[in-house]
Amino acid sequence: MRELIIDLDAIAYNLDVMRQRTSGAMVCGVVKANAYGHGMLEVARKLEAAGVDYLGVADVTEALELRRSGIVSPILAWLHDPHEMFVEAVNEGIELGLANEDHLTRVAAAAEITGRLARVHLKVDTGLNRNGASAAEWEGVLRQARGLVAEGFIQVVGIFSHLSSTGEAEDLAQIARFDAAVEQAREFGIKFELRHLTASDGSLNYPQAHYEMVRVGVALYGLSPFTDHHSKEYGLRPAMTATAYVTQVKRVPAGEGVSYGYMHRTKAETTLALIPVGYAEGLPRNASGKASVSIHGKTYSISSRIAMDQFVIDVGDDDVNAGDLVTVFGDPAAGVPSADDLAAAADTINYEIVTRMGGRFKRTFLGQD
Amino acid sequence: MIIGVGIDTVQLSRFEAKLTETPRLKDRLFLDIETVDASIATLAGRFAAKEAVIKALSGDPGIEWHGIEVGKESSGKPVIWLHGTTAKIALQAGIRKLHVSISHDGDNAVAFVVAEGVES
Repeated sequence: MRELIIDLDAIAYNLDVMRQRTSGAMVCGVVKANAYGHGMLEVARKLEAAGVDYLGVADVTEALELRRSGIVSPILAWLHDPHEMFVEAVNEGIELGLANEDHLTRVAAAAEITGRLARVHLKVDTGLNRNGASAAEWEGVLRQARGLVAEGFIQVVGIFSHLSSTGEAEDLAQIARFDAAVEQAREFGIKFELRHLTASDGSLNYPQAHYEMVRVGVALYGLSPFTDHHSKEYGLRPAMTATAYVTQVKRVPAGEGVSYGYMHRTKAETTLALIPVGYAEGLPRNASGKASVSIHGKTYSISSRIAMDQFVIDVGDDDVNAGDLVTVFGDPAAGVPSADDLAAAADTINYEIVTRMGGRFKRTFLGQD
Repeated sequence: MIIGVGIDTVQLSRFEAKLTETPRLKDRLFLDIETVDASIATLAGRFAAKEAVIKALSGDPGIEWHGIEVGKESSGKPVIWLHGTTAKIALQAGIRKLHVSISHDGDNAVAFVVAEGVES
């Protein structure tokens, strides 16, 4: 069986760690993209029980799934389909991050026709050039929002933006632009409760930019948002461990080719172990020859080509047998390769590694309330 | 601009008989909140309003009874709120507001609806 073991207690623990590091700020736990591959509903329920202030998702579909599964915490969704009508979202009290006049108009129409006040967060682009109103559009958004507040269709709950994490100078420039955009909103007479700008990385780096709320994603899952700092430095505990069992072992002579392209050739008579995890499960094919896995506390390189369903490792003369537990990655404190190690091997970031895990992996949750 | 209008009359005695005949009909037609302390006359008026809304929306098959909520403002003026698929259908038709008026006389309730909106 291929298993993703999700330690929900570690996630609750990491929430506390981030609370301490963002003293006083509210925390929006980001559970988009199936909670970065960890299981959205289970993670959201754990965070709600642990007293998270907000839950953040990308789109309305994710938000509605949470609400209809019994999540009562405030939910914020900020990336919308161009055809989104916002009717269900407004009906279910989903808070909406909005960045343009078209979306504001549709949210107001949904509020009018459903008879419910829409709670919105206005998003300003402070330099990332993704979603968010540009400096040129911001005034129009504020003007329209002020009108819709007066008509009783919307309530502006927050103003927010997102950092580019390019470097300190760039981030500080964005913080200054955010403050200016907030000031402009105040001058327009718009009342709001929350400013939120930083994600995990900015929350750890810029205490001056915590404002009323921080949005924490990757750190909740025990991963560092930085490639040059390990999660351990912040006291975070990785929550995901990927495991499988050796399916078959084979004794082969020296000089044999292994897996597609004979990327690996045996140097001496040796034992090959077959592990049923492939790129269908999210294991990056380009980590072939660079990533490692752990069996009985010992680390083995994935020296052959990772295939769709499986990969083969060369374990030499070690006593490895079918049925032995293999850890693909997990908490490095347990002496196994980390998501960071796999990310480095695949030339990507830990975020992508955990988020892409799926396929035939089954999630097992530890610490479910 | 006006996008649609609808009108419907309901005979109170016949409506009451139908509700008695089919005990689950009330739940199918009305949201719980619409039935709290509602007399047969009120329910008949609300049912007429729902029928009038359906006519104003040109009878789209996606419209649901529970998608049309007939309530009243604090002043007592009747008001219509739409939910779910029904609200979506109305918005897609360009409708932004529904105006409703309900009247009773003797054994009859009548409701008239105007759908106001923008050209879609």
